Amino acid sequence: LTTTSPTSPAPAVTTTTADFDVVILGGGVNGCGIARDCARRGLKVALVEKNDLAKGASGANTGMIHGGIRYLFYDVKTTKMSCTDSGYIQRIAPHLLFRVPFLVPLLRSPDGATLAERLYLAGAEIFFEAYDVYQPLKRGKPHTRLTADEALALEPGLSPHILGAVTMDEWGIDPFRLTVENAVDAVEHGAVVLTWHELVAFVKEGDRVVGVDVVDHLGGARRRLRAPLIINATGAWGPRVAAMAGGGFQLRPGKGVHIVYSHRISNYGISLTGVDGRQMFLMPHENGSIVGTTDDDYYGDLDHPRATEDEVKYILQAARAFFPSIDRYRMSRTYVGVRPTLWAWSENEDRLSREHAFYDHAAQGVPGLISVAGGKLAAYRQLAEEVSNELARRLGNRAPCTTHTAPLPGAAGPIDVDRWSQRWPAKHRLAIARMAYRHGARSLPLLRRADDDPREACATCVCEPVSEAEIRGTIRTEVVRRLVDVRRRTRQSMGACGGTRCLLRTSQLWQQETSASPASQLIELRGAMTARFVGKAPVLEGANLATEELNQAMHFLGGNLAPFLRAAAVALDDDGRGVSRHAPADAPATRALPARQPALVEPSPLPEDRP
Amino acid sequence: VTDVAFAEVPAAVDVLVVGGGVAGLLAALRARRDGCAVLVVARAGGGTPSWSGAVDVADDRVDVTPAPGGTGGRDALDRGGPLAAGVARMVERLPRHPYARAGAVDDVAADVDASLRFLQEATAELGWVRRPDGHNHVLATAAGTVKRAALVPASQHLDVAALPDDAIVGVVEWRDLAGFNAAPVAAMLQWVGGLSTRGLRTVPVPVPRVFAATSVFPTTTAFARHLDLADHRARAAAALRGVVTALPVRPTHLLTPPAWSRAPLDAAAVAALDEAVGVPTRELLGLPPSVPGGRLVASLRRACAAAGVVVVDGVVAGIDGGGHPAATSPRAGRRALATLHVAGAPRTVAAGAVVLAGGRFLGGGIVREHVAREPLFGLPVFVEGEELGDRFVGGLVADTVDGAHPLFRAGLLVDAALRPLGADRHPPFAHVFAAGAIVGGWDPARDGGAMGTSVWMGVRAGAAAAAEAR
Repeated sequence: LTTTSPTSPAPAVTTTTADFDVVILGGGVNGCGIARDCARRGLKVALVEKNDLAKGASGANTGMIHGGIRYLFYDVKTTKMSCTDSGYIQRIAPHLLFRVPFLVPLLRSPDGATLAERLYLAGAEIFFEAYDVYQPLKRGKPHTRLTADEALALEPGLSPHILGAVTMDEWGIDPFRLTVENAVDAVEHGAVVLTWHELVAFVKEGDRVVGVDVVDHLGGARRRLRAPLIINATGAWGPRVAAMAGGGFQLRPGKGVHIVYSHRISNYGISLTGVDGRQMFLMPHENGSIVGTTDDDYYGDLDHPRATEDEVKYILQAARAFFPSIDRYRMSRTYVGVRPTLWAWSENEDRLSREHAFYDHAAQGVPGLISVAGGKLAAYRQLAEEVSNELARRLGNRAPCTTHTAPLPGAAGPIDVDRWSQRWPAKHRLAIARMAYRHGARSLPLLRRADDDPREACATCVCEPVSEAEIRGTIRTEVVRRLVDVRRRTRQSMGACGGTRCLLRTSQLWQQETSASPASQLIELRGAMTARFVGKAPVLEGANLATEELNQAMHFLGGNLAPFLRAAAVALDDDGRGVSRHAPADAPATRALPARQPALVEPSPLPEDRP
Repeated sequence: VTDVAFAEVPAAVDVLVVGGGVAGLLAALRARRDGCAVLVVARAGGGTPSWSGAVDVADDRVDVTPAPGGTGGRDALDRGGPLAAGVARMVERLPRHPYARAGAVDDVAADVDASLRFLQEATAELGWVRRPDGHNHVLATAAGTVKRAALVPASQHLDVAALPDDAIVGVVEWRDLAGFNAAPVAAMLQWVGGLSTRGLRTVPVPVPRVFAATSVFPTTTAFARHLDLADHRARAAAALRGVVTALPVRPTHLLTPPAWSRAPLDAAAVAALDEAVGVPTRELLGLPPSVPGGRLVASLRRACAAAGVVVVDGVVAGIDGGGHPAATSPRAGRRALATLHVAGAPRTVAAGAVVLAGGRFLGGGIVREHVAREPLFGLPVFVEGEELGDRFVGGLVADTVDGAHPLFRAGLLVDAALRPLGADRHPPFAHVFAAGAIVGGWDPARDGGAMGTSVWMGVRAGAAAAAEAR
């Protein structure tokens, strides 16, 4: 096996059987974080992901490297760990972070604040004082108490029925970029990252798991990856995967829905309280605003979770109570993820621990397989370090962890938007600024593409915006195999028009870059459009419905694509949702969970001597 | 484009048309032909400016069969038979389609045919081409697919089903134009067009920058505006000629992005361009925002101006009596009183009949903000025969984007005369008609024949409104 570059559109394994030190199942932020950590220690790493990187909860969260203030009441450990690691992530990926100042408004009764409400505001302040203790860990500012007038001056869309507000300082991040940059760094340190490869079966010698058989969804090739240790970091899919090896553990998977608005509708992040007392956020995120999230036990289809009518109404109800002007703005889509929350009996969804845990299935008689459960975006690096420490110990590797100091790829070099804007046409400054946010120092080779063909400097996705150069570049260098993968790396089609203007065009660029057949281009277009459509469907109201009508006209009236998409689907046996078209018919069914819970591997403590 | 001064808005007309797309403008022209005084209120945008250029009438979307190995759509070059047969198949397949609600199939087909002739006459400057046998053309789109259509302007008339077997079709890529690469379009056309199965070839024809000093990499719309300046079109044609002449294998036909001109190109203008390039050169069907769509709207508005139809850019803010059954008073006393906003100022207009042609969601003829409504008369919006109301939109769409979505068939329910129906399935107003995408029961994007359906409804509603108003 040789080291491969992430530029290869084809899978990077050159033989049908390959030996590794560790095989990681799952291309979420945890799996990619573990891959990066292990690869940087010199271990031979393979990562297998059945879909794209950050497809699940890693990409469907609130996009915050926050300190977990929500958990302060009942889970202080998670709050402290989150704040500490938020500080590390700021150091290794400064280009991906953006400050989100929050207002936490407190509603009062319409006839005037009651004593209880005044006491609540005082209590809230004590609560935020407690949180201030952790803020310096993540370069956060302490809270400020605002009168109602001050809060309304800062955020005119707020309900006038507020008693006051408290500020809270947090950090936003592009979770897709965070995951992808971890994967790219892993690949550049020798890891093999196989996206669109699904686990078919574990390879066993006796009871011991010694490898995995995987199948490539694009082409159907099967590969055997052997390793003494297999890490199951498949998020909410974890129990199913463990069961395939004869092990098991339980989760309390929780479905989380967000609604996206077409542009930024508030100046600040706003903390909301739902009808049931749950905390939610309305916050600026990238070029839009998001509001959410829900948290409900979920046992449905993990591969295709959908926002329901009740969930949309529940979120809007909370948002209206605090920010009544929200109905003036245009919802552009929803997104849904399933949290791999740790299992507990008799706890409300909201109160479930956001800590992570590791299960060594050796205790169940299945040595060689370790499952990762729980966790949260802000603590991914910490989780990866703990897992990698354990792997390194078992494999006799003594290299230290470097993931808290070594910059992610985009942070390794200067970022100078002003100079770049002068060097390349000024009218593309916004595109350059957004590219620099996403790719950091690695924007430079993308910008240089426009020297060869100036047309590549033009925006393909106008909403975000994303230039043709960025799209072509990401296809070549960031583990892109399918058209939908481009979206998660560039935010192409994530903006206000939902791909109306750019998806056909991007499919043509993808076809050119990968030399795919026209039929494949149509399949990819169908999958990428459907991925957008299912997110939009629950909120096709007002201007969003009008935009979708134009989207339908663009592709099916003007482009007359429908009969040809169907023909391509028939030709290539695609189900239209971009999944499993080459999955083997004989894939083993998920086995029932074993009655016995496996032993918990205690997480190794975080070294205290780090700044 | 006509700019009507505020003072020219009449205080009373026979027919008020709400909507300045193809259905509304044709309704106005048709009512005017019967001698009516007609006012059109056109809001910006809508579906017609996104029009591809061709008029599909009864493209009943026979599914394309992939050839073995996934290398071509074998049925893509099928013309689908004569117009009347296509209309009959649509009526059979789509029982809620407006064609199916308008009477006997043969009568509807004849009426559709007449409406196409009406369009051809009204906008003759576009140089419409219709096959003598009445069958469809098979035309290439800018996406690289093919589309069946009965009528096509001269500048877009390249019937790929009529090409000789030794044809070599060049797809032109202007380096002055951003966002269009010929190679993937040519490859797609070869595959989906089933051209490979006949041995035809497509080749990309990149043209180096012609306007290096002035170009800012425009869209098709801006590129068309650019070509309209001075001698730019001649320079572009000469550059294209130079490229084609130097190619080792010379294309027999050229397809270019639909950006030759913002002004109409009649048969003589197209012949002159062919002469300049040296190879027959036609425009691909457009995608939104589309230059051919702009050409059609402009052409129809010129026809309106010539015929004496007043077209104003504005918004109908409300119609007196809208939503009140009392407005269905006997003929003599009945007048709709519409409040318009033109150039920001309110104006009241009395009308004997109203044609609602404001489009669906995009045009604003139907509004859905958690509850669906027709904003002017408060008419109910139907989907699959039931009122849409506040039903959850997420439950009215298919799982995949190209599936059949009931939501995009929502709209007004109409009787055979195109009068919209109330909740009791009867028309509450004798003097109100609807045409175009505001009428439900069909999905313009999916059912095929969208432009023809709107043309037909527009002409039909205009005739009905004229009869009612006078």
